[in-house]
Amino acid sequence: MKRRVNKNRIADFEKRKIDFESILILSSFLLFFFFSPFSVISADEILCIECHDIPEKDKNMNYVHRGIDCVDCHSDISFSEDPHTRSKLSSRQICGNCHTREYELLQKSVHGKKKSAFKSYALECSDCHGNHLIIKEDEKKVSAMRVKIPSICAECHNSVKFVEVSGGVYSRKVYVQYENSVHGESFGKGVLAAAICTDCHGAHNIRNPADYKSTVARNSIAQTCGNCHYGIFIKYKKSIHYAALQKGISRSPVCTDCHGIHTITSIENGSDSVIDAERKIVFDSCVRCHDDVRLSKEYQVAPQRVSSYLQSYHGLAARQGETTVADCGSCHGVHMVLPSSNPESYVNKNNLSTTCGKCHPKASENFASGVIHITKTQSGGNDSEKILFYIKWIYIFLIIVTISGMFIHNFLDFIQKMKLHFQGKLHSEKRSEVFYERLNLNERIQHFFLLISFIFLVVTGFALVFPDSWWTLPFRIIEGGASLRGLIHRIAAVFLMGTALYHIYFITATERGRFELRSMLPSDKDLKDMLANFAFLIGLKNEKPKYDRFNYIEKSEYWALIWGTAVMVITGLILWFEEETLLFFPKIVIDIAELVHYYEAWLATLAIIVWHIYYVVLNPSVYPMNWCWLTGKISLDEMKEEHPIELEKREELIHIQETG
Amino acid sequence: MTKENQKSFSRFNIIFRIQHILLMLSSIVLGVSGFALLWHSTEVAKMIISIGGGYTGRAYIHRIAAIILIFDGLWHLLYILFSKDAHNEFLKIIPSFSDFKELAKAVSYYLSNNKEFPKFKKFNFIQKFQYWGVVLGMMIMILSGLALWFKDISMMILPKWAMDVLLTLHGREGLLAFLVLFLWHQYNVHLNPSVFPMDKIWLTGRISEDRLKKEHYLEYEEIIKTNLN
Repeated sequence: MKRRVNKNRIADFEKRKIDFESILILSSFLLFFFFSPFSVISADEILCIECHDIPEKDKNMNYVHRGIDCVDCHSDISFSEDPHTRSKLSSRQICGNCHTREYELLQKSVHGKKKSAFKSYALECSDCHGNHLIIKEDEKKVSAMRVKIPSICAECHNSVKFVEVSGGVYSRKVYVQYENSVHGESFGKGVLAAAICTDCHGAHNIRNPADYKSTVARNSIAQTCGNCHYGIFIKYKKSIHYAALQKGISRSPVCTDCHGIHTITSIENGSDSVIDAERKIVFDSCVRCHDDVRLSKEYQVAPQRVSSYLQSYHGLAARQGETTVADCGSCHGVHMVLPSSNPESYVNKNNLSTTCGKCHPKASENFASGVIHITKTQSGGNDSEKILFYIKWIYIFLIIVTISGMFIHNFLDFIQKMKLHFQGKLHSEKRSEVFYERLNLNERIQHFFLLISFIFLVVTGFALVFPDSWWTLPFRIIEGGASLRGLIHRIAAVFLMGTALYHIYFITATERGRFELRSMLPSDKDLKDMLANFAFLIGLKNEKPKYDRFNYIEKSEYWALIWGTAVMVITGLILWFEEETLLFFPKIVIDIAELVHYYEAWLATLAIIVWHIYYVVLNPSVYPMNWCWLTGKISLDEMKEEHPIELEKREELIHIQETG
Repeated sequence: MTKENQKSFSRFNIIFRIQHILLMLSSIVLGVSGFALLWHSTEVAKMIISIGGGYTGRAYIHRIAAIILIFDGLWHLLYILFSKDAHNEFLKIIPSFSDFKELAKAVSYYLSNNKEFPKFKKFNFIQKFQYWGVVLGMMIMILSGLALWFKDISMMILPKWAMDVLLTLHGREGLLAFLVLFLWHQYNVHLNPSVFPMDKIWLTGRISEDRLKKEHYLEYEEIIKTNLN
C-alpha cells in the first residue's frame, strides 16, 4: 500500500507544534507508548485523538489500516485555521486512492452510477465497510467482512422503500428469501463457505442482471454457480440446454430457471424425500417449456412430450403421489440433458436398457425397440401409434354400440313396465309362498367373490386414470396411498382370478356346473327370443317369449363376463409382469395391453351398470332388489313370469321322481 | 285388480300441476346450463356448452329458463294469494310446531323405539320442507341471478366484493338446490320402494283411498267428516 506524504499538511502541523503544552503532552504520550509493546500510533494521530474520540478498546484491535495516519485519508483538511476545516472527501475518493481496482469496478457497477433515481443509493465504501474500524482477517483466514455481508446488503435490499424507489421491479423480500434458502440457512448456522450475496453478484462489480457483463446475467449464471458446484457445472456444460444458450437461445434454461434464484432450497428440505423434491422441481420446470407450443413450433422440439408422459402409467402414478415411478429426470437426467441422438444421452437407443434398468432390472433390448412417449390421439405418426389409434377407436365404437344397444333395450323394458305401473298391474297383491332354488350356495359364493373383487378393481383401477379427481382424494392424502391403490388392485385381481379358476373347475368337473353350462350355451332360440321380446316391447306382439332356465339377457351377460374377465386377466398380467413380458415381446405389446385394459374396463363397468344393475335393482318388477343373489330362491310367480319352460321341466322331473 | 276400481281423491289441481311441470323443466334447464358454466373445464361441461351453442347460446338458454322460472314463481304467488282454493291449500303448508313432533315421531319409528308411524295432514314434514326449501332457494337464485344478469345496474350500487359474493352464492345455492332435489325429492317420488318407479300424482293429480289413508290419515278423516256433514 502506498503512503502519500503531503508536504503542506506537514507544514500545517509544524505550526501547531509550537504550542508548549502540546509538546509536554506529546512527550508524556511518547513515554507512555514507548513502554507499550503494541503501540504503533503515530505522532500525528496522537494529535487527532486529542480531540477526536476513538474508543480506547478499539485501539488494540486488529485493524487493517493500522499504521496509516488520519491525515493520509483526510488529506484535504487545512490546519491553517482553528478549528481546522472539515474533510470534504467522500470515502470513495479517499479509499480509491489506494484501492484503485475496486474503485474502478464500483464506479461502473449499479452502486456506482449516480443516476437521478438511484442517487441516494449510490454507495460509498464506508456504507458497507465502515469508517475507521476495518478489521483484518482473523487467524482462520476468514474475512470478518464475510460474516456481515448478507445483513449489510439486506439493509437496503430487504426494505420496501428500496423497492418503491427502484420502481418496484426488484424482489421485495429478497433477504428473507435468501435466509430461508439452503445457502442462507447453512450460512446462518455458521457454514461460512455457503454462498452469500457477493459470491453470486460480485462484491464491487455488482451489475444489473440485464447487463451481459453481470455475474448473474443469463449467459454467466452457470459459470457463477459453477464456482462452487463445479461437478454439476461440468455436467450441465455438456447438456443441450447449455449448448442452446451458447447459440443465443436465451430461453434455454439456466440453473435458476429450475432451482429458483434467492429461494433455492435444499433437495432434502423439510420432510420431503430427495425424490419428492426432484419431482417437484421437474414437474415445475420441464413442464413449463416442454409443454409449450412455442418450443415445438419455434425450435421443432418434439411435441406432446409432457402430455404423453402424464397419460402414461409413470405420469398417472406420479400425479397421484407414487414416488417410485419415473419422472422426466429419471430417464433424461437432470443436469446433463441430451437429445436421444447423442450417444452420451441417457435416452440414446444404446443406453436405454441401462437407463430403464435402474428401475426395471430385467430391461432388455426390447425396451429400446418401441416408442416411449406414445400418443394415442394421432392417426399419423409412427406405426405403433397408428396401431394404438385404431385399437382405441375400434374399442370406442364397440363401447358406444354395445352400451347404447343395452340402454335402448332396457329403456323399452322400462317403458313397458311403466305402462303396467300406470295401469296398476305391476305388482300383484298376493305373492306366492312357493319358492324354487335358483342359485345354490356354491354359486352364490362365486358371485359374491366376483362382486367384491369387481368393485375393488373398478374403483382402484379408475383411480389410477383419474389421479386429479375428487373421489381419488383418499389415495392422494394417505401416506403411500398410491402404492396402496396398486396393492389393492392386485389383491382384488388375485381374488378375481381365483374365482375364475374355480369357476372353470366348477363348470367342467362338477355335475351341477356342467348342467349350468349346458343351460347357458347360446342357441338359435335365444336369437328368436330376443327378436320376439323386442317385438313385444315395441308393441308388435301381445306376449313376451317364454324363457328356459337362462334367457338371452342372462346368457349375453354371462358370456360377456367370460370374455371380459379373459381380456382383463391377460392384459392385466402383461402389465403386472411387464419386465418379464418385455423379455419376449416388444414394447408395443405393453402399450396395446394398457390400452385394451383401459377400454375393456369401461366396457365392463358400463355394461354392469346399464345391463346388470338395471335387471337386478332398477327393474320395476324387482325393485328395490332381486334378492336371489343372497337367498338363492325364486318365487313361483317369478318362475311363471320369467322362466316358464324351466318350470315345466322341473314339474315334469318332480312328477317322474314321484311316480318312479 | 281391485286398485282400478278404488275411490280416489283430488290432491294436486291442474294449475298446481302445470306450475310443477314449468318449475321442473326450467330447473332442469337452469341446472344443466348453470353447472356447465360452474364446471366449464370438465369434458361433460364442454360438450353441453357446445351443444347449447357455445357460451353465448348457453347464456341465452339459461336466461330463457330463468324467465320461465320467474314467471312460474310470480304466477304461484298470485295464485296462492288471490284464489280461494289455492289460498286454503297454502294455509295447510305453513310450517307449524306439530311438524317437529312428526319428525321426532318418524325418527323414533325408524329407530324402532316407537312402533307407530305418525299420522299426517295434507302435507307432512317432508313435503313442507321440500316446498319451503324451493321457495327460499328460488328467492335467493332469482335475486342473485337478476343482480348478475343486470350487472351494469348492480355494479352502480354494489361494491365489487358484493358482486363476488352474489356470484358464489348463485353457484353454490344452485348446487344445494340440486342436491336437495336429487337426494330428497328424487328419493321420495322415484326411488322410494313404495312408489317406485314413480309417484304418479304429479301427472294424474289424484291419490287412491288406500294411499290417502296410509299416508295422510288426518286429511282422510277430515274429508270423511265433511262428506258426512
